[in-house]
Amino acid sequence: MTPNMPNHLPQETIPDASPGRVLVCWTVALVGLFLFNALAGLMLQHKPVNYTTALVAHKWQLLKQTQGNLDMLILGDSSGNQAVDPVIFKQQLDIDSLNLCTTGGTTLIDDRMMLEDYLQKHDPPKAVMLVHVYDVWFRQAKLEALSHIPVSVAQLSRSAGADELSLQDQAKLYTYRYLSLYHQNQSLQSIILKPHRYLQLQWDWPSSGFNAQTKHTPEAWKADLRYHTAKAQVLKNVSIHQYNLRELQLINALAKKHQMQVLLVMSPISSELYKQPIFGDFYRQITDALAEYAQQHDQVQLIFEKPLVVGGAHMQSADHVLADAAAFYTTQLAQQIRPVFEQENSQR
Amino acid sequence: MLFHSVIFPCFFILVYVIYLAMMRRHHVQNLWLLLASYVFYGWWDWRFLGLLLLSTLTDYVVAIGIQKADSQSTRRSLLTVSVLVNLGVLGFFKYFNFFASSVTDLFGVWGFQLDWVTLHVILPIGISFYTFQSLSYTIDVYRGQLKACRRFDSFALYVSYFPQLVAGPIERATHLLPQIMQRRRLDWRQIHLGLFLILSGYCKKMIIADNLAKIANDTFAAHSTLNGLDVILGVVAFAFQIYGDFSGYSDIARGLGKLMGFDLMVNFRLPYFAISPSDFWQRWHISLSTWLRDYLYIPLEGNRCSSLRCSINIMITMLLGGLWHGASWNFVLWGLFHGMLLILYRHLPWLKQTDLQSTRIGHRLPRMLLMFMLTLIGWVIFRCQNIQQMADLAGRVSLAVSPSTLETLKLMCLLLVPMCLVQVIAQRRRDLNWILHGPLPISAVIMAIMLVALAIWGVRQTTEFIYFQF
Repeated sequence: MTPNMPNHLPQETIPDASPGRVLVCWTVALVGLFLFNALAGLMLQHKPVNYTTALVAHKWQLLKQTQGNLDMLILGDSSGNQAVDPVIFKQQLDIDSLNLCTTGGTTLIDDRMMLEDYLQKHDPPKAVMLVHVYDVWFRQAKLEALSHIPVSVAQLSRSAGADELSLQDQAKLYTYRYLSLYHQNQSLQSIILKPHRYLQLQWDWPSSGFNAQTKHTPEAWKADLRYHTAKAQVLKNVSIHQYNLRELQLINALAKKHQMQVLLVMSPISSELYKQPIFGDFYRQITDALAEYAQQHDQVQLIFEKPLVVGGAHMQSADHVLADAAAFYTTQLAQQIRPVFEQENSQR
Repeated sequence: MLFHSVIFPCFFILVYVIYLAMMRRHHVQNLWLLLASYVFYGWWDWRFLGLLLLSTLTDYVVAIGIQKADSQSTRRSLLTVSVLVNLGVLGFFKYFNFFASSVTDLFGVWGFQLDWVTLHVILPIGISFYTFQSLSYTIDVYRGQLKACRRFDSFALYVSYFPQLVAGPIERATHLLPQIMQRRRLDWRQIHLGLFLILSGYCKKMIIADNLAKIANDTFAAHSTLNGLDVILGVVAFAFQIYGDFSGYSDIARGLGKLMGFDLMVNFRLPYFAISPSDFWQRWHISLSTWLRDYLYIPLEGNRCSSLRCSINIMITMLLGGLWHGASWNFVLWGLFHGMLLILYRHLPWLKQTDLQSTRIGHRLPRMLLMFMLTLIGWVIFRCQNIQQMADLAGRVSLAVSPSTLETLKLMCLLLVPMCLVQVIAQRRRDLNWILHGPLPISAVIMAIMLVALAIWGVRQTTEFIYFQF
């Protein structure tokens, strides 16, 4: 009500609605919302827009499709995804391997789940390689990244932090998985704004799982250098996160059971970053901890305890290499792991 | 506590469930709502609850005193106390630094350096809203339009009712107080409308206002690097941002009120469909414009006086209306600009012939577009930090396009075209809630689309409502 309201203005009138009409109206609206949400979820599952989401889905698809008989499983994060080329391993070591590296957001949980899945269906490989950026080791997994792993939410919930995962976080995992409309809204916005791009979108994934990157953006690389330096300055002291340690123990137990070697591999890193004393000291806290772990377990080896450094011109970011550096890195890596396979072959 | 923060739904559900459980005892309900309102307000800064209580206590006591007083002079003195306390608090917290720095600057121009004390006064949220609301009560009692409220809890709830406490609508005691004093009834139609208003409010705030805020903020922050159409788009974005933000808040407040059986006044009636300044002020922030009309413009004799005096009255009213928004010269200028428009429209022949009742597109459309453009100029004054920025922006307006123009235009069309279509139909039918009056499938589908749009396009970072700062 407005005092002395002129009658040329639009009015607010109370709708003449029965309880039945009100209920039906809101129920239909909510059902419409959930239907649309389900459709959006299916659409994005079938053809994701987000690179990381698509990458996780693709790697799991590769895992499901593999015929087995692999000598080595390459697991890890996005740095490994674009740094380790199984074709070079085949050329240099004559071994069959598959790059299943996904994203750092899933930390080692994704690695362990993939290994378990592989071992359930196939004979064990000779070795499991875990390629991670130094900072993945002291991080906790991101719920959103975990939600993209195609296993049940209950299983994810258990993996994300055992009993420590709060009810709120458990609920979040469900919403990340099932409320696509809300959590994948950026993807949906881009589809609405540029539908032609979505229709033309084709993810081109090589069957080896290695995804070479060629685009060099100096600004992004510099920004990432600053980010890592700042992180070293702020965090100062770090150690391996308890959940990552737990996952590593689980992987190690599987390795023992199936007589596999576990190769902990440090990702390549920008030389400009590593030469900074503050960063170098920070970085070594993780490599020291991993070296100590490897020393305590016979079947575990740490590769590149002193990291392989690459010049900024060959890097996409501070810890992600471009294609030419990937070839160099994989070649160096092959040299490092050659004894593992020679030893294995001689034993067999 | 923001309406679109995570904590608010939890707070409201708790308050509402207990409120419903007390449905048969409305005085207990009032106490509960009063407690909830103080928690809601104290969530920002509990210390400012003291100011709210001061305003409440003063007007409660003064109004009873006015009613009991035998002589007109006592009544007038008591009213003066109320005005002084309310405006004194408002003046100190909102305008002290503004006037202090303005006087210092003025003396600085003449070569005098004043060692003026500048206090770091924090503006208590919603102070302009509840001060005006409380003040209107005492004035109404003084005028004999209302009996003084004897129940302190009821009156305190009138001043602090949480849905409209911090950003309006500025309610009148004649309208809200009787609703507080009597038992509320809930019916399905009210709940239906309330839920729809809440949905509509969230859409306006989170889809329209918060998405357009990025465009508007970029325009006003980087105005010196922008050119041509980008500047125009930025100003249009701000026009709809402030509309979506403020009318969205009002809709949510009114919707929450409806769920509890309260009817809060309509604060916006499609303002950008206005065809003249007076029409605009009957559609924009109606609770403030009618407050200024009833408690300032009409007591100044309104238009029942000479043409010159009437123009002066308009300018005084609009100047104070501008100043109400904030302690800054751009708000003063904005008020004066709208005052000038009101006077021009009263005197220029073509503009004077505006027929508000006309539905002819040939009559309405050119006037509506002209009024919208004038409103945009007003928003530039409102949003700019200083005159230099206003001049700079004005100098950059042209039809030149930049690489990002098309993208911005596309996004704005996507956000605004659906809302404008809904509003065109509302204007044509003169029915703000036409969506609820249509066939059931249409109503349900539109509401589903609104829910989907909110999920996809709703901005999640909780940004404060613009009018909180006023």
